[in-house]
Amino acid sequence: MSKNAEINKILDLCLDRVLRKGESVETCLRDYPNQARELESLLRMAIDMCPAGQYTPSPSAKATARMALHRAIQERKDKLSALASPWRSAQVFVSRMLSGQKWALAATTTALFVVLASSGVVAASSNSQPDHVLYPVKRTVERARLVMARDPDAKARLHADFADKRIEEMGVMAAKGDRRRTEDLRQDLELNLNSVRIVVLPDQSIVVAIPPGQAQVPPKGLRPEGRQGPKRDPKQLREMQRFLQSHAQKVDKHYQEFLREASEGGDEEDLREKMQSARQEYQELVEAFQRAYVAQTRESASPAP
Amino acid sequence: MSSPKQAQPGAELLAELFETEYERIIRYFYARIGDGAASEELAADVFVRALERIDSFEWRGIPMQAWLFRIAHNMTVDYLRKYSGKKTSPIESAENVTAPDNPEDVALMTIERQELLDAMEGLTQAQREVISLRFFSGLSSEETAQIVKRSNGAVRELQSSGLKNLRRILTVRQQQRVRVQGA
Repeated sequence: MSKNAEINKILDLCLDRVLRKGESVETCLRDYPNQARELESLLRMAIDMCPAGQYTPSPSAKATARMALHRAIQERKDKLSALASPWRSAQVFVSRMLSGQKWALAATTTALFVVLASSGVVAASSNSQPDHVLYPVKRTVERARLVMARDPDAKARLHADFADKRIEEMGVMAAKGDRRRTEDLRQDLELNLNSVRIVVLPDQSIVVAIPPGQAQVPPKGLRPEGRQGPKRDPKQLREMQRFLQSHAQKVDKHYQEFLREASEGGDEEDLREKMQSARQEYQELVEAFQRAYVAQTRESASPAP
Repeated sequence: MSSPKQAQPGAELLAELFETEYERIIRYFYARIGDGAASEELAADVFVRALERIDSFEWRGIPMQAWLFRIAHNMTVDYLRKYSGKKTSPIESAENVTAPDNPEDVALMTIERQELLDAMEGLTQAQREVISLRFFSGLSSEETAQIVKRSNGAVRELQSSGLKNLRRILTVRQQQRVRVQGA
């Protein structure tokens, strides 16, 4: 551990002891005499600044917020009960199966997929937008495809494809001035991109909220042990990086198209920011693959001990 | 942040989390935007937004609290973008600041608070985010790392560099004040 990292860790421990456990600064400094001089002023400043940043909401504000949340929970329950249609039942059934046995899950998903496909619903839903009645079908089909994907790379490619769709949908929703859906889609996009990391580069991933069936816990063989990442074939990593690079270019294309059409008015500034954020996320992902590729190439090239 | 709660249905868990996280989320907003009333509204909105999306999420690796703070972070970014020119008066928003009973102490704390918020403007966005979560929302560095999607080491580095930057900014300002008073 470098000297800097070491002192950062000591400072972090002392901050927890002082701010969260109520120990005195002196007690902490006694335990770290060599770092005491550097630590003291930072700890004292942290103690001073905490009360200055405290804010206690009025009891009425909290009561109002609580009431709004409970009302929303109740409305949601009522809405779910009212939606007990055959379609809803099928959706709930699939959701339940998604948390069950893999063989049962695959069988059910395939059966549902076949039924829906033969009825033409799947085809009709494929171009639906988030404000369309068939959009839930589109997302369910996406989840089903993820469940049926056989290996991590295939899943990662699907996540990247779905990320592209979210970008397109963001454009459509932003053009309609639907900020809420645009933001939801941006978050879904982030989840898809994070899922690519989780599936292929689990050691570089930090898991965030994951829609059911969209992200995968890394397969046992790929889980990192301690701080070591899983071994990957550099060629595969290179291929995946190129694949993602081509997707990043598509994002750029969407972004440019959006900029051309944005002058018509609407919420373009907001979307511009969201699109830029998406481009950056893609770029970070491509760079993560580049780092993994370089690391694995070096490792493969170094002689065995 | 607990894990046994994760087995509970989302909406019920969210209602429980409201009781423990509402104040912490308000403090996070308050540290970032400096407007008490807006912080209260935004914090209430975090839970309603979370509820709207609760069906599509399940939790692997991190608890729901971290997700709530991620939503709060995104809302802060949107808010600051929308109201980037808006300045909040320290007196106007000092009403609910936790403070001593003595009016002089309240005034001093108000000034200190405003100085602190001003000084935080001198930090990088990542430093500001980490400082807000650690010192105002009271999260551990591990919890902070989950929210800002960085490693624990990176969070500790941002925390350390953020505190050093704050110390430098506040020291310079204090020296300037002394010089003005002396002149």
